[in-house]
Amino acid sequence: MTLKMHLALALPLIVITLFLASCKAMAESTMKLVVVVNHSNPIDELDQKQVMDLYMGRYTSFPNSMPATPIDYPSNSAVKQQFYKMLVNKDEKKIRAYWSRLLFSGRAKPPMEAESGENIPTLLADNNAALAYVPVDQVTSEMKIVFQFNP
Amino acid sequence: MAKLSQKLYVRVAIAIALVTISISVITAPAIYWFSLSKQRQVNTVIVDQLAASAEKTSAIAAYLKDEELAQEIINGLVSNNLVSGAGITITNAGTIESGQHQTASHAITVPLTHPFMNEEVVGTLRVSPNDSFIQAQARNIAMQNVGSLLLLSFITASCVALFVHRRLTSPLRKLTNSFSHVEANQFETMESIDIGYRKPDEIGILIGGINALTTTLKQHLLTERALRERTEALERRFRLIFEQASAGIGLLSADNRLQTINPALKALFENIQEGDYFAPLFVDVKQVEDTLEQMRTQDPFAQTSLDLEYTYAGETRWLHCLFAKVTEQRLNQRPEQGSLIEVIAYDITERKRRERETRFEADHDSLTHLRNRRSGERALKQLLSSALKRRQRFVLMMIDLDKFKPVNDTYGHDVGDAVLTIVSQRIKQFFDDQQDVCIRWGGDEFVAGTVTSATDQEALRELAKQLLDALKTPIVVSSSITCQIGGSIGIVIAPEHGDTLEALIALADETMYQVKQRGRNQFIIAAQTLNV
Repeated sequence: MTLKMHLALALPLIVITLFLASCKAMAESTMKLVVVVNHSNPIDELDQKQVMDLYMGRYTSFPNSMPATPIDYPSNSAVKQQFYKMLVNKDEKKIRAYWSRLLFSGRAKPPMEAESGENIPTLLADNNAALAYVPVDQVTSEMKIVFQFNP
Repeated sequence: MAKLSQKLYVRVAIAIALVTISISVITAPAIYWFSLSKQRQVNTVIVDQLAASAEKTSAIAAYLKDEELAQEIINGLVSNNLVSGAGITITNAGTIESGQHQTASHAITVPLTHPFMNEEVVGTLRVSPNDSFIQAQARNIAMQNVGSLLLLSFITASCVALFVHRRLTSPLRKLTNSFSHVEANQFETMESIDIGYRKPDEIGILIGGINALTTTLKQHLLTERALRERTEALERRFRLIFEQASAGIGLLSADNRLQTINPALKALFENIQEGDYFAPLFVDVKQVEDTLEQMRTQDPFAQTSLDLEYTYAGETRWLHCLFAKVTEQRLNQRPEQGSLIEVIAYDITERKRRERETRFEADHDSLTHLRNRRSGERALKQLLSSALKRRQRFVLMMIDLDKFKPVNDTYGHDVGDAVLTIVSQRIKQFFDDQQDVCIRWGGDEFVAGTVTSATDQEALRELAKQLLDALKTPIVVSSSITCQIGGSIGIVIAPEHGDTLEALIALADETMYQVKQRGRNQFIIAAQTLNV
C-alpha cells in the first residue's frame, strides 16, 4: 500500500471526523455536566432514572437506602437549565410548576437550592448524603462522579 | 243559557288542550329518554373532562406514590355531584379510592403515564360517573320540558279560546240572537241584522248573506201576499159572478160529467147535481155527445153553441148552450186527462116559442092556418126530392072549390072566410100533419102533397073520393046559414108525370081544369091515366 493510497483513504475519514468534532463542539458549546456525590459516599454509580427519581422527589434516599440530599443550582442559572433539560427534557419553568403542584399536599420536597454555583463544592463536602450536578471541569477531588449524561 | 261545556270556544279550547296534552303525553317519554341520554352524554363528557384535568396531578401522585396527594385528588373528584366514585391505582403500590363504583362499565379509566417518561405507566385513574344523580338530573330536565310543554299547551288553548270567543263565538252569538228574532211569518221582524260587525271576513260575509236572503225573502213574501190577496179578491169576485150569474154556468169533465154548476144552471133543470152526465139531460142525447166529442178532438179554442131541447116538469123547454174548451196550464201538461168544457146555458124557451110563432105566421095563411103558397112550394120541393131519393111516389093534388064565389057574394066575406076555414080543416083531416103538406094555394085553391109507397092507385082514388065527399058535405056557418060547395081535384104523381115541382104543378093545374070542363065534383089522375 502506497502512501498515496493511505492518504486517499485517510482523507475522507479526517473530513468526517472533523465534521463530527465540530458538531460535538456545538452541542457542548453549553457545557458537559456530571452528577457527583461526596467522595466518601459508598454509591459509585447511578443511572439516569435513579438521578431523575431523586431529583424529582420520588425517592428521598439512594438505592442503598442511604438518605439523599439533592442540591440544585440557583434559579435562572444556565447550569440548572441545562441539567433539567438533559434529565427530564423540561425547562425550568415546567420544573417550577411541577413543584408548585406538590407544594401543599405533596410529601415530596424540591431539592435544596444552593445560593450560588460556587457554594456547591462546599455543600457537597459538608454533607455525606449530598448529591449535586456540576460542569465536568469543576469536578474536584472531593467529589465522586456517579453519573454522566451520554455524549 | 247553554252550559259552559256546550259553548263553542270552550270546546275549541278543550279540544286544543286535549290535543296538546296528548301530544305532550305521547312525546314525554321520548323527551325524557332524549334528555336522559343527552344529559348522560353531557355528564360523561364532563366527567371525562374532570378525569382529564385530574390526570396530570394524578400521574404525579402515582409517580411519587404520594397517597395523600392521590387521596386529595380523589376527594376532589368525588366531591363533584357527577362523580360517584374515583380511585387511583399506583403501579406496584396500592389503590386509593373513595365513593362508590356503582357500575364499573361506566367508569372512565385513564392510564397515568410517567410525568417525564411517556412510555412508562405509573398507575391508573378511575372515575365513576354518578348514574343516579345524572338520571335524576335528566329526569328533572325532562320533567321541566314536559311541564313547559303543558304550560305552553294551556296558554295556547286559553289564548285560542279567548281569540275564538272574541272573534268568532261572540259575534256568532250576537248574530244568532238577532237572527232568532226573525220570523218568516211576521214581516215586521224580517229586518236586516246589524250587530256592529264590519270586518270583511267570513262572518261579515255571512251576515251580508243572511241580510240579503232576509231582504229577498221578505220581498218575495210581501209580493206573494199581495198577489194572494189580489187573487183572493178576484176569486171572490169571480165566485160572485159565477154564483149570481143569470146564465147557467157549468164545467164538464173529460167524461162529460157536470163538474161544477152554478145555482142558475141548477135552477134550469129539475133535479141535477154535480157528477151527473150532461148529455142525457137533453132530448137529443147524441147531438150533444157528438158536439162535445168534436170539440175535444178539434182545435183547443173551439167554441160551439147549440139550441137544445129538454123537458122540465113535462114541458118542453129550450136552452141556448155555449160550449167552450177550457185551457188550463195544468191540463196542458197532462193532455191524456182530456180537457174541460165550459158550458153557459140560457133559457130560450120563450124566444123559441116566439120564433116558432113568427115562422108559423110567415109560413102560414092567417085565415086557414094552412101553409101559404111560398112556404108550401118550399115544403113540396123538399117532400118531392126526399120521395124521389127514397124511390117513393109523390102525389100532388090541386083542389079548387066549386060554387064558392056565390057563397061569398051571397053571405059576404065573413061567411066566405068561415067556409074556407072549415074546408081547410076538412082537407087537413085526410093528411098527416107532419109528413104531408097542405097549402092554401090561392083564393079558393088548395094544394096537398103526400108520399106513398103503394104502386097501384086504389088507395089514391079512395082518398080522392072521400075528399070530394067531405067537400060536398054542407057547411053550417051559423044557425041560419048553411052552405054547400064542392071541389074539383087534379092529381099528378111523380116520378110518372115529371120530376120537377113546376112541371107537376102545371100538369096538376091543367088536369084540374079538365075536371072543371067535365062538370066539376070529380077528380082526375093526370096524363097516361087520364081516363077515369
